[in-house]
Amino acid sequence: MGSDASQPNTGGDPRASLPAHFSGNSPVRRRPSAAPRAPVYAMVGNPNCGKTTLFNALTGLRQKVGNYPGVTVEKKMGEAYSQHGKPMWVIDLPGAYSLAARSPDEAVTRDVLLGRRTDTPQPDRIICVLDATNLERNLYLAHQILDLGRPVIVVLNMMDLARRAGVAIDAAKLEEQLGVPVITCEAVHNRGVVELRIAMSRAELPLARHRWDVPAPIAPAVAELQAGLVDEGRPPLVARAEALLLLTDFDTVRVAGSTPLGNRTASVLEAWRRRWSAEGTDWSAALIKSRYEAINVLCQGVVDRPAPKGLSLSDRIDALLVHSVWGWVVFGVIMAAMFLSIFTLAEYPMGLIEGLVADGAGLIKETMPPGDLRDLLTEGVIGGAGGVVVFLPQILILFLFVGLLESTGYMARAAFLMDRPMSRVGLHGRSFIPLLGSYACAIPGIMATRTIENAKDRLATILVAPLMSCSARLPVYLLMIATLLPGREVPAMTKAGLMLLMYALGTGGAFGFAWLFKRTFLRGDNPLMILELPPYQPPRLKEILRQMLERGWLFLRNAGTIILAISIVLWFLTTYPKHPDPQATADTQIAHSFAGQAGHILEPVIKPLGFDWRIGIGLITSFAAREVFVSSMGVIFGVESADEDTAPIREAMLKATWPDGAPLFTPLVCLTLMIYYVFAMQCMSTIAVVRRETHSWRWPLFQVAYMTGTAWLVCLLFYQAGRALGF
Amino acid sequence: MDASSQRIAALAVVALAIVALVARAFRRRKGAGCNAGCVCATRPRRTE
Repeated sequence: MGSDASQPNTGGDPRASLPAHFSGNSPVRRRPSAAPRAPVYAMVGNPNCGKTTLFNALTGLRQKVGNYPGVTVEKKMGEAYSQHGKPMWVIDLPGAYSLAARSPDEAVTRDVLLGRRTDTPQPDRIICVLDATNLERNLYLAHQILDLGRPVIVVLNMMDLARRAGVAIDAAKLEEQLGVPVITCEAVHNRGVVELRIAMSRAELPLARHRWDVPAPIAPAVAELQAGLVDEGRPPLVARAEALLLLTDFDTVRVAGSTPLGNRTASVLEAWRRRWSAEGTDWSAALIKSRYEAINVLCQGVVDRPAPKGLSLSDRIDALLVHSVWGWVVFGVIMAAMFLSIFTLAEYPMGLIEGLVADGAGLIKETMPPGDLRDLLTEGVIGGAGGVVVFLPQILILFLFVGLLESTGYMARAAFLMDRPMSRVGLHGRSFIPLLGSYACAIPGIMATRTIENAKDRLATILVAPLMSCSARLPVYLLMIATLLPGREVPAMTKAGLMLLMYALGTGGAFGFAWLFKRTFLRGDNPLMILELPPYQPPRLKEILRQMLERGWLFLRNAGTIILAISIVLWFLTTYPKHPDPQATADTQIAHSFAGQAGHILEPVIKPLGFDWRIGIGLITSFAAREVFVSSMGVIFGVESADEDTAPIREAMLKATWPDGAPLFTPLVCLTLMIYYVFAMQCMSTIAVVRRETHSWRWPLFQVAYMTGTAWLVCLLFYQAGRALGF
Repeated sequence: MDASSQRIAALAVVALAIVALVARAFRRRKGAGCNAGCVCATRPRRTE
């Protein structure tokens, strides 16, 4: 220990240079460079064992962490420094229970480790993170990793939780048995990180000593497949590990960027499988069983687990939180508390920001002479982007709750609870975490579907995920609720109830469409859900606060960039061309403008929903992002009420009328508009991500058509029924 | 600032906003525009 890892042992890998984006060298250059290159470490382990927390501690980055499986679904790379200040690359890989991948996220891990990815260098060394509370199960993946014949550092993470559970682990003995460094660690408390960094800084790491004999009937097949893979250019040990994976029958999940299997290997594999099927040999089970037997031998004398003494604290809490009746009651209370807080806690800061925005506009009006630039600043910039910033406190509160749920481990319980209703509509329980994530934003939700094994289930989840009400809808709902219930005397409970109704409508819509899709073009079996319930942990307030501020900053950044730019362009479109009569009223001017003319073309389509051309402009501009609707209303109604004192958007909207003098924003119209935003696909970023995840334009276009079509139809029925009932 | 100068300045700001929107559309990379900031928006800054 002590010398620097400037020239790491690479387990016999002939590759001597990194791809251009890592080292500046050509990816095809093989000549050893005079300058030492940075070693590449891959961080692997079971889901929710603390890999990303450790990755963040090593690299100083701030990747999202959470106390539930499946937070990381894509590889992330970061630069760390050795004890001597030399750079090292660390790749954080999605969690996997085995290298035999069953889902796209596990396939990413497998392909990086086996060097099948063209866009990622094969790691020189591997950091295998194990959850110390569950060592036997975690060792299954570690066992496969050690087969790869690369230098490995084993990290026993969550040692504090293991100690608390009474589990004693002899790390020195494990190190002796495995033949590789074993570091004990508590990544959450930053303990063991220095020791890990020291181990990573070693110039030489010993190779694993463990021995594992492949079951006799399988051995000839492994040897033949290994020979074929070596001929295809794999190093011998990697070829052996890959041959073992091919025989476990789950090596079928392929992701973009993976190199395909050679023809010769595929035909050898097929021939062996046919032979075993004829003989009745269960080769897959034989391999798994023999590996677990080897792990049991390994654990003897290493792990001392006390005899169970009744239920643990997590089990006792779970008895309530995943109870078939009480579980739902608690879930409802948590959701109600979240929405109630959004209205009650945010009231004061929201009023403060509203006051600041109004003061800013007032100051500009006082100091600048009348003219286009002054109007642009007050109506376009402050009326538009400023109108959205007002909703920052609500966004922060929403993410505070999401952070608390993620950090404590409740998210996995909610997924468990939802499995029953979701299986009724044909969705896998595993779909719940992506769907729940879509409450924040559909984009990470859609990316999180990579944890779903079945392709049809995954597609069904992707198609319905944008129906879950994301945080971008929040400002629209809040503005509409404020317009619908303008008085301050309206109890917060009523507003929270309305909000809850919209979220429930979106969730119900998602379930309804999933049911429809799974019974038509995505018909398939309903697999059982196996989900690990992590132990409850006290919320990590620092982490939650950091995520909350980060998301708040993103919201502000959006308001200051895209929303600001769209507001400025919209101000131009509502102000030009100028009406020939300089004395024309604001109404006449805006009707005469480019936006007014475009809105009037759209009006016949949306008039049956109770929307006029001004709302139509908002619907079009909010295709960029849903919050733009709020800024658009700010610009349009700001322009209209330009002669009056600056007032919050909702007050200007309340004064808006149809040409016959009837109020535009009646309670029925406000509700219809909220329903429109529940169902309509109003987000270009989501469309782009669905295109990327499904590798086709077919599905995002289908999504736009079915969601926006449903929004129009439901709004038509709701508005016309409301009118018929006299509302 | 007289009305005509204000108009020129306002139109210049509008032109800038249009250029910014067009540029953003062209350099839009995977995940850009996400609101949650958990998967893509916080992607490592010191990496490729």
